[in-house]
Amino acid sequence: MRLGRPVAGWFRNCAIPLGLVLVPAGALDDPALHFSLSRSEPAAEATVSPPEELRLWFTQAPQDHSMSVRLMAGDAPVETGPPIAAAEDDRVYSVAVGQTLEEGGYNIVWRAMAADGHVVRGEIPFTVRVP
Amino acid sequence: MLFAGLITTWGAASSRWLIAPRVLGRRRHSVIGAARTVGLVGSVALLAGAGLVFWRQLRDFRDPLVPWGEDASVLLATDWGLSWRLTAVGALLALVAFVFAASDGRGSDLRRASWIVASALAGVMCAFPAFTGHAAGTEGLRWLSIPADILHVLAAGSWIGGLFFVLIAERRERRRTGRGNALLAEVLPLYSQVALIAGAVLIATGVLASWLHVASLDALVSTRYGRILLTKIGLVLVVLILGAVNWRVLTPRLWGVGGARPLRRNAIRELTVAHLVILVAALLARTSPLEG
Repeated sequence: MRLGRPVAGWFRNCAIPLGLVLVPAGALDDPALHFSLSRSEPAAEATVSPPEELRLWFTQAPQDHSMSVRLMAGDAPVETGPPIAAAEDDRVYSVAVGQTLEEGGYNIVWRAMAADGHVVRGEIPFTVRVP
Repeated sequence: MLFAGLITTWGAASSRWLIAPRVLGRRRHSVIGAARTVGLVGSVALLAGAGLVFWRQLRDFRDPLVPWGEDASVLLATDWGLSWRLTAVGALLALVAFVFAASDGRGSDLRRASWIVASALAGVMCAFPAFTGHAAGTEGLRWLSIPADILHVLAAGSWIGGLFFVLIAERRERRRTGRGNALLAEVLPLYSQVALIAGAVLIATGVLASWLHVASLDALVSTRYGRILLTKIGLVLVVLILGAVNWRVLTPRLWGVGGARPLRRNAIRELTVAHLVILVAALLARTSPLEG
């Protein structure tokens, strides 16, 4: 068997272009390559005065129409406005809270679809305390 | 099933245009017929796979507080939904085009044009995983990850779909003449040229995707994504070895004792393991690189 020439040809034709592609790709390592929640207001487990709006920051923009944010008081949903992307940054979503929240525990339940098709969900529990 | 359908459909198209025209005489018509059969099988798998993928995505996307229909229409309005709709329509049109495509490469202009339409659709649909998967999620590097992912699927189709085509062509020839050796002797060197280039592209783009999605070497064993990727790489190595045995050991023995049978058996093994690779690739596409 003569494997030498095809292997040498493969190396010449493929390995060198591959190296040219991979070296810059490695140099462009980005910690936010994938979609996740980076922070929120109120923050998880925080105790806050009644918020007028909820804000969620993501590492990437979710797919249009895929964002859902619900505010739950126990098992009951609290009426809120729709999630709206910030005009200056489509990775930030805010939801208007249509009423003054009473004291107690709440949960922000969110769902979004990342650009890579993954449906990502999360919950942000927080407590409201009236000053 | 969607990945298998994409790869098989593109395998039919690439075999039709890269291998069949170089086959001599009447055997060329039989080989084009085999490519059409592979295309039909691939399109049906693609349609079924598209349906299953939509159902799975809808289940993931489900909001229990709204009706299913509302969730479905919201899902269809996303970028994912747009890519899915294009792929589902493409799969349906490809199936119709493969039904009309001339099984011997001759016939009316419409039947010959059907091959061009089916092949173009097969190629375009290979972009679906890139636009709905991890390649689309690599923000800032999409200019690199999306073309590389499309090339990855096209290369997989030319290799694995092409191998399926070779086996179908051999089976048709064996049924027609009682022997498949002569066809294999003519088709395999042509297929090997395509498979060699496809294999190189597959490895290059696979290494690139791993580089982009796996944060560190440690993540290869510490994350679920990394462990599935290692499984895929292991299976790809098995496919490569089986392919190398077919190419360098069994093809030269085609006219020896046992004829085409050892080669056929080993090619079926290669195809089986390749479908395991597709299964693992589908699992990989479903797994977030961030999962622990």
